[in-house]
Amino acid sequence: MIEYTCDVAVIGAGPAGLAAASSAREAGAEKVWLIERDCEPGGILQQCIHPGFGLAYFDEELTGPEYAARFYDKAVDLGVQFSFDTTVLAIEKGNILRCLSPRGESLINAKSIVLAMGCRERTRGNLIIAGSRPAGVITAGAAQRMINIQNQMIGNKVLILGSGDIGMIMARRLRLEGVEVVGVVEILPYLSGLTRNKLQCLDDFDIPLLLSHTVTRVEGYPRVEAVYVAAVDEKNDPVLASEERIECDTLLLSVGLIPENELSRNAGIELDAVTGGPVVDSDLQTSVPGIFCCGNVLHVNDLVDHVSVESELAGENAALYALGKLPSDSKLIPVQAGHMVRYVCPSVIRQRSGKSTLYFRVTKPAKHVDLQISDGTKIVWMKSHLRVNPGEMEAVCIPTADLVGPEITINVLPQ
Amino acid sequence: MKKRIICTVCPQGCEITATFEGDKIVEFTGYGCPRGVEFARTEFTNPLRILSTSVKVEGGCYPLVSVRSDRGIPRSDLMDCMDIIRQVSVKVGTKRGSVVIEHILGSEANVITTADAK
Amino acid sequence: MKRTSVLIIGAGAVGCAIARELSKYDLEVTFLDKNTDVGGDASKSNSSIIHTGYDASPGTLESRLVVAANPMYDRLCKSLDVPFQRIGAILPAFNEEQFEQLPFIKEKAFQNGVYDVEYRSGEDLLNMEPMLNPRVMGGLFIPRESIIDPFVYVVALAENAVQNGAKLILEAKVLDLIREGDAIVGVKTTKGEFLANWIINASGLYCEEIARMAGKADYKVNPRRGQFYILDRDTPCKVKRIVLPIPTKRTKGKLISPMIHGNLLLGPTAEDLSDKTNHDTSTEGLASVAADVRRLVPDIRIGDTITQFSGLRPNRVPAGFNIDVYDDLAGYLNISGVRSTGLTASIAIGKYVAHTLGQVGLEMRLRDDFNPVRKGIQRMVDLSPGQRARKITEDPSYGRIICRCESVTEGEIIEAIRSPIPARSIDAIKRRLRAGMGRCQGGFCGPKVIQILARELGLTDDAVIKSDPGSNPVVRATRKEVSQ
Repeated sequence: MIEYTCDVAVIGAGPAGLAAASSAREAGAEKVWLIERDCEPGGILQQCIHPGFGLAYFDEELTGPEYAARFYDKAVDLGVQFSFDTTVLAIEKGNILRCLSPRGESLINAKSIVLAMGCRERTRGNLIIAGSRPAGVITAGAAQRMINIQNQMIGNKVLILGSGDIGMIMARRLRLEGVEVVGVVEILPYLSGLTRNKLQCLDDFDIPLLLSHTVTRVEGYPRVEAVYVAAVDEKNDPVLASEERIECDTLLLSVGLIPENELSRNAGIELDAVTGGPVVDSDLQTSVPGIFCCGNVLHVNDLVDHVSVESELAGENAALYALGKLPSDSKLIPVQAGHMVRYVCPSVIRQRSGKSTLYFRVTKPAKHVDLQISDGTKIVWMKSHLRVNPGEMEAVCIPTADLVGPEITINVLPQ
Repeated sequence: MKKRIICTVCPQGCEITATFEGDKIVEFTGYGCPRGVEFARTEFTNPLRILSTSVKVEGGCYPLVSVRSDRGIPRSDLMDCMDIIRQVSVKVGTKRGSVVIEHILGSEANVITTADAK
Repeated sequence: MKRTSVLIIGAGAVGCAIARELSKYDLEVTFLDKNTDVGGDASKSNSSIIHTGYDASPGTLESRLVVAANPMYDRLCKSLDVPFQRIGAILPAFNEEQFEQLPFIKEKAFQNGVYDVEYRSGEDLLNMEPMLNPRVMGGLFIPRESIIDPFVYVVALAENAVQNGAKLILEAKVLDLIREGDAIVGVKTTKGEFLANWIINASGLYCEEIARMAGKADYKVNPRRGQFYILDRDTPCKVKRIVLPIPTKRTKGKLISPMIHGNLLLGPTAEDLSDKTNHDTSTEGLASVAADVRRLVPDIRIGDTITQFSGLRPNRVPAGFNIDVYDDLAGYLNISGVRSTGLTASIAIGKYVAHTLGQVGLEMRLRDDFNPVRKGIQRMVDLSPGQRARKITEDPSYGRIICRCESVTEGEIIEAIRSPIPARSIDAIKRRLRAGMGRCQGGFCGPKVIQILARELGLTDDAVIKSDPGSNPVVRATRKEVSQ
C-alpha cells in the first residue's frame, strides 16, 4: 500500500474539480492532488460537444471539450497533480482517501478535501414506468456518451421523456445524425431546461414538445417497439383515457439528475433532503471539517459557468483550511428558502467582511417578480426579474458584513 | 405584423418582439441589451447556428473527436453540412483547433476540432 | 462401453441442480436451454428465499422436498461459493382474524416437520423489527427461512456440473422429442438433434409443452405473474428479517424481504396470465404491492425503488409437485408443478431424480473424481488491501472500477466473460457480478460493459446483446470508417 500526503485533494476532474484545484493552488496550497476515475479530464463536458458553455465566465461561446480544456490547461500550468483512471473507494477518518487504480491501491492523506463528483441520472426504475424490459430504454447522458465518445448509435426512432437540457440537446444531436425523433414529452406544464435549448434543439428541427404528458408504459421485447403516452391531471397522475401508443425503438430519459453522494454519505457528511447534496456553509464547507463541496455533487446546476465560480470558492477555502488560515469563529446566519423558493445553497452564511453568493431555484415559472432577501425585520437586498424559471438557477451576491440575523430568508414575490 | 422570439444570447431569455412593415423590421421591443437586437435581427432574416458533431479518428484510442463550425452556419444548411462531415476523418494526433474542413458548403465557416484526437 | 447418457431439458434452478447431482455419477450428462444463459425463467425472477416448507400442504411431495432441501443449503452454498444468509422470517398478525390463524399455521408447520416455528408476542416482534406496523398483535418466528443470490446459485450449480464433465448447450429450443417404439431416445432442437438414454423434462413453465411431445401432458400449466420492487440499499426504512403476510386462500401474499446484497425486495403479485412470454410490469400490479406491503411496514419508502421486475411461476392444474417415470414410456422422466418453492426444492429434486433413476434400473455408480467445490469470481471490494494489491499486480484491470454503484472492476467482468459458462450478454454480467444492478441501473457502466463484451468476444459493438437475441442496445456506429 502506497501512502501519500497532500494539502488539498480534489475528487473528480470535471468542471468543478478542475476549477477547485486551480483555485486551491492560486490560494497558496502547495500540493494539490486531483483524482479522476476516467482516463481523461473534463467529466461530463467531454461528451457535451455542443456549444453554449462559457458565455458568462469567458464571455464567449465554447463547446464542452473546449471549456474543459481551458480549465485543464490552467490546472496543469499551476502544477496540480493528476491521478487519472483512479477511483476513490472511501474517505476514511475524515481526511484519508482510499484509492484504487490499475497501478494499485493507495491512501492519500489530505489536509483538506474538495468533493466534486458530479451527479448521475434518474432512471426508469426511479420513475416506475411499467411495461416490458427491453433494450432501447436509456438515459440521455448514457446515450450522449455512447454517441459522441464511443461511436455507438443507440436507436433509429426515438421518443424523449423529459424536457431537461440534456434531453433537448440529444434530440438535436440525434436528428443531426439522421435519427428520427418523434417528440419530447414533459410531465410538467412548462419546460424543464433552458429556453434557448428549446429554440435551437427542438424548434429548429420541428421536434414536437408535448407538455403535461408522460410515458405510462413500454411495449416490445427484446427491443422497444412502442411507448404509451398519456396526458396528466393536476396531480401529475396520467389520465389513462388519453393514453396513446407511439411507435419507436428507443425511449430516451432526461428526467433529472441526482448528486452522487455515496462517498459523502459513507464519510458521515450531512446531506440536504431537497438538493440531495451535502449541507454547506458559505465557505462551501460540509458538516465534516476540512471537507468542501462544489458543482453538481452539491446541487444540480443549469450552467457550467456557475459551477466554475462556485468551485473556485471551494478550492480557495480548502486551501485556506489546509494552511490553517480559514477563520472558523465567524457568526453563522442560516438562510431559509421562502416564498416560491425550492432551496438555497449554501444554507448558512458565515458572516465576514466580504460577500456571499447564494444560489437558488424557484418552485414554478413566473413573470415580473421581485427577488427579496429579508432578515425578518427589513429587506436587506432586492432585485426585479422579468421572468424566473425552475430550470434556470438564480444567483445573488450580497454583502454579509451588515447582516444582523438571526436568519435571512429569500422570497420571490409577484410585483 | 409582429413576431416574437425568445433571445438565446444569454440565459436571461428576453422575449423580443419585432414589428414588421412588409419585409422590413421597423422596431424591436423587449430586449435587454444591444446583443438582443442583433440576435433578433439575424434570427428573423438569416438564422445562423454553430454546428457541432464528431468525426472519425484514424488509428486512435478513441474512435471519434468532436468538431464544430468556427462561426454560424445558415440553419437551413445544417443537414447538408452533416453529409459532408460524415465523409471526413482526422488522423490521431490532430490537435484541438485544427481545421478539418475549410469553408464548408462554400461558406465563411471552417469546421475545426474541439479536442485533441487521441 | 459407452456410458449411459442423460439429457436434461431446462437450465433453471431445477435443471442445473439435476445436472450437478448427476455429474457425481458415471453418466454422460447434457443439459440444454432455449435461452442465451443459464438461469431459466422463474429461477431468475423470484423472491430469492430459501423456504423451510412450514406452510406447505403436509404429506405432499412439495412438502417433503422443500423441508428436506432447506438444511442442505449451508453446506451447499459454502461448497459452491454462493451468497446465502439465514436471516429468519416473521409472520405478524394485525387483527383478530389473522391472530386466530396463527395456531393453525404453527400446527401445519409441525405436520410438515418444521418444528422450530415459535410464537412471539407483538412486543417481541416490534423489538425484533422496529419498523413493523405497531398494531401487530403477535405472530410466528420462522428462524430458518433464508435468503440467497438466486442467479449466482444457478450459475454455481451449472458451473460445477460443467467442471465435472456435464455438457451445457444454450440457445437450443426443443422442437420435438424423438421416439423409438415405447421409448424417448432424444430431442430435436434448434441446435440439432441430441440422443440420450434418458430425457428429463425440467422445463418449468414449459413442462406442459414438452410433456405433450411425450404424450404425457395430463395437466395444464398457466403462467402466474409476480411483480416486485427493489429498493435502494440506503432506504431508511428497512427490516432485518423476511416479513411475511398471513396467507389468504389464494396466495401467500406480498412480502418484504432483505436481499442478500443489502437491498429490499417487495412483492410479489399473483396474477394468472395466459402468455408465457409476458414479463411486463403493470401500474396496477405495482400499486397493489405498494399498498399491501405498507400494511406490514407503514413507513416503507416506495420512492426509493431502483427497479421493478416481474417473474412468471408455473401454476399447474391440478396443483402439486410431480416427478414421474412411466411404465409405458421408457427413457423419460417428467417434472411438473414446481412452483415458487422450486428454487428451494431444486437441490432436493436433483437428489430425488438421481434416486428415481437408480430405482428404474440406471446404474448409478459414484465417480471418485467428483469435485464438489466451485469458486466464484472473487469480488475486489471483499478482499483485504493486501489481496487486492496482489491481484492488481498480476492484472492491472482489477484496479479499474467499471460499475461505480456496486464497485465491479474490469478484471472481474473479464473473468465472468471467460468463466466456465461464459457471460455473453450485459444481463449475464449483471447477474453474475451485479454490474448495472445498483442505483444508477447501468447508466455509467452499461456503455463500458458493451465495449468490454465486444472486445473480449471479438464482436462489433452493435452485435452485443442485453439479454436475448435482438436485444442489441447499439444499432450502428455513429460514424462509419471513412473510405479515402
